[in-house]
Amino acid sequence: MIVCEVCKKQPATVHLTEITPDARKEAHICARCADKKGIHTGSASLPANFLGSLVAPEPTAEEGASRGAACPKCGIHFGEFRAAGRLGCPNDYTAFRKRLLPFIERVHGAVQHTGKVPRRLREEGTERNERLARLRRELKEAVDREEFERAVQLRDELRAMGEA
Amino acid sequence: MAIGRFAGTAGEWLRGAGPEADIVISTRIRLARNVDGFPFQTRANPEQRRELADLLQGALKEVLTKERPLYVDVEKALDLDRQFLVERHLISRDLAGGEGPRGVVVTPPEDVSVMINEEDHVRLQVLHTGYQVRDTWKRADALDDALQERLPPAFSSRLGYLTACPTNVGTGLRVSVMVHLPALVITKHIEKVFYAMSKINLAVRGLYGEGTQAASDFFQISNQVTLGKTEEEILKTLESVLPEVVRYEREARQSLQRDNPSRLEDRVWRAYGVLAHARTITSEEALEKLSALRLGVNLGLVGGVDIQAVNELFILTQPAHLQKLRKDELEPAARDVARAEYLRERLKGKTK
Repeated sequence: MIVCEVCKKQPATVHLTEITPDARKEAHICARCADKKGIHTGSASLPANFLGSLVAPEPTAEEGASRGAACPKCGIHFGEFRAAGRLGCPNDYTAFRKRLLPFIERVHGAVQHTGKVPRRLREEGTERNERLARLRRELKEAVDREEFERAVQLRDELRAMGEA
Repeated sequence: MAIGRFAGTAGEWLRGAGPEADIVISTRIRLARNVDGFPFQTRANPEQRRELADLLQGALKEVLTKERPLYVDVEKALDLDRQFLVERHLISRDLAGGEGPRGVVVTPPEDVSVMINEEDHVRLQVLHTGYQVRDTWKRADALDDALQERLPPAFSSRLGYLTACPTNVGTGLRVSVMVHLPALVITKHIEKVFYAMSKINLAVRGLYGEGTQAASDFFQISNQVTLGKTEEEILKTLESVLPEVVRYEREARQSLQRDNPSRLEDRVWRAYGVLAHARTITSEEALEKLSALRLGVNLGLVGGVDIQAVNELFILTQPAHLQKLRKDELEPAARDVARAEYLRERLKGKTK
């Protein structure tokens, strides 16, 4: 049984892993000391700024608010995210991409979603892939038959869909 | 208030009937989603939050038509009712203690609860009894699809489902299995479980408790990573270790029965004695004794008490539930008396 690192008396039942840019720190404390520190085990909610404080040393409110550009959609500054641990809108992932991605990679060990995709996008994706496949096939056929005018037209259609 | 009809019963997930139910209490799947075109909670103004609550409530009522769901407006609910919902695992402490328009859609068997305007616009939860990772996921996935058809989610092909906190981004999926591991706690092998879990990025949290109370013999095992793995991979990570945890606990139970049977029986029967006869009991002590009784019932050391009743008592003896049952606000000391009375009613003279 591990003993609480704070009071050195109670058994440590709360186990925290803190991931900072430099290291992975672990702390083992008892429920009572955890509660004193504002860490609630019941519904597993950490202090509001817990996550933000892991990204970088906590800036003062003024510093935080003034530093960096704001998201054009919701107006939040990166410093505000750091202080509160919560983003303001979905566009923040684009607006703060450079600063968020290293943090996301530390937490998840990845920066690319591989899971479920909304059905609407799945269908759009399928339609798009089918159309691309058809255009590529037609382009090849046109080139084979030396129908260059038709080939140029098909190439332009492919380009318009973002294909080289 | 409509939720009053829940008092005196507990959700289906406490039936104690699912696979491995002697050790695995429940399986929970949670999906975090946000509605496209709206800011997250921190930046949503009261009008936007009201609009979200209305849109989501309407959409969810359609999605869950057959289940005849109940909507609880948490903003307008009494403190006692909020606490009541927290104790039943239907809403989080954060939703209970939050502010502004917010609520929860609950199906009567309490297997589905969808929090609206918590940290994310939608926190969809499916809760099943026992160890049922696949069925629980299928249900959550289907409900998620149906909801997305009505209200498209904030999604990016790179980062998946976009959430207010980047720790949930990607699948937005949290799979949690609640386990009862008294023998591993008694034999002091529980730390090994914690260690093994942390190795594969699973979190183990103590469960239950009021305020500063020490953790109990109940633990919640859940995934940490939500991005870069498919839902299937996340489910498989949990499935790769859960049978081991169950086996480990079973072995610990067997060794307790083999090595010192009278000491184990004494522990169980003393617990029953206190529960069936005490005149005042704190929630901490009730929790500890109920855990020992639960172990005794599952090992066949105590007959006549059914496991569902014991499971339910964990919930029904919590403060808001006691006050609902007694239809009165009670101070802590009075609650301890009411708790002892209630436990006596439910347990005295029941054993064989």
